[in-house]
Amino acid sequence: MRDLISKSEIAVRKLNPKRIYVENIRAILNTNQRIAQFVCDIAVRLGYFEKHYSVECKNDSCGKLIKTADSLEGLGRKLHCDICEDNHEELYEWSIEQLNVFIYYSYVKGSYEIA
Amino acid sequence: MNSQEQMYKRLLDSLPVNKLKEWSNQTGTKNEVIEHIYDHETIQSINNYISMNFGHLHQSGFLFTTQTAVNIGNTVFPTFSNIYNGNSGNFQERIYLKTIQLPYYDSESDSRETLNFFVPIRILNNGRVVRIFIHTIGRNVKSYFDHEVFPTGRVSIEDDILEEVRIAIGQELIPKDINSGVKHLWRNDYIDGYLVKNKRALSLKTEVMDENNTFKDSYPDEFEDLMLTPLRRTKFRYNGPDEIVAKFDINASVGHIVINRHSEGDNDMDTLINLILANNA
Repeated sequence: MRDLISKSEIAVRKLNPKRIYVENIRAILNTNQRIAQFVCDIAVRLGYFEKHYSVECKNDSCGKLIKTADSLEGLGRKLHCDICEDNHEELYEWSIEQLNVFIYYSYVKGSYEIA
Repeated sequence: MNSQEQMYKRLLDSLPVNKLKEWSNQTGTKNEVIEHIYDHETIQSINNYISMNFGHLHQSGFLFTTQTAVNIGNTVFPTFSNIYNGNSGNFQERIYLKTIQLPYYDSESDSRETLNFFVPIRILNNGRVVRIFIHTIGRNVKSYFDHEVFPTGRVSIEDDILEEVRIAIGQELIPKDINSGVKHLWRNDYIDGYLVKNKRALSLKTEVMDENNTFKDSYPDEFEDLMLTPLRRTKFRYNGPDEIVAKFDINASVGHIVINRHSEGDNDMDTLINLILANNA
């Protein structure tokens, strides 16, 4: 048990408090997605986490996170990837409906070191 | 270029030659076998054969859930032509053909044209679970001509099809996160990645392995860090006991699986999905 806690502590220290995904929490707690999502929701409710939205470039050769916002609406309707535009890719602009929205959280209370 | 006959021949061309020879009892080149099949079979029997052998097509599979239950049997898709209705396990199974047009510039006729294809689409549905499989056209438009043509513009075939499904069912398709299932298979050496993408906090990390090296085998310590992060589209080699296709792509964070080669098994895509979901927490 102590070994497990120690491993979890090491893993938590590797998180960047600016951007934490549900999958980070699921993997660290070695639990299922539903519980990991519940933990994040509770952390938001208690004021430890803030919820954010992001979209990533759709080109397989890229995948850059192109915009973040505190709400879905904040992402805007049209998104564009500057790397793919620079590289003269055929597609570098998308409507929000064409992109997958990834939710992440930031840590807002207390302090811990970034590894 | 776009008669029904030509489009059906292109459709048959998407199946592996050994399956076509087995069906037709013909030898010869793939084109000769396709000619023979088209001349001797009805459109209905070709549609049936495509439906029965969908698992042998190159395909892109998307795993979704919805907010409320869907009944695909009652859903009308305006541009899909239904060629098969049945069941697969607990799922309703539907197979459709959709005509897509790939634009090109023809240097001989000095005109802009389209090359049309039938794209087979398979949909599985049980309540809130919706799985969509779309045949991926592997051949370049240029390969269908003896003279020079230039593809013009890119068509988002998969986006267009997924959008039509979303509109027809009247609700959002929520991508299924299969990170834990994929990681379980990876940790237990069923699979290993040779082009690995994972999301770090402030960047996307891509590791392209040299020659035939694979990630876990080469970097066991970094693999442990990787296991803590969301996976993005990664190319895997299969090392497990089941006889399924040797290589495939998985974007575990959005439930997207791509098999870009002909499967030997009747439905390697379903086998792979079942393996992942059986271990997906």
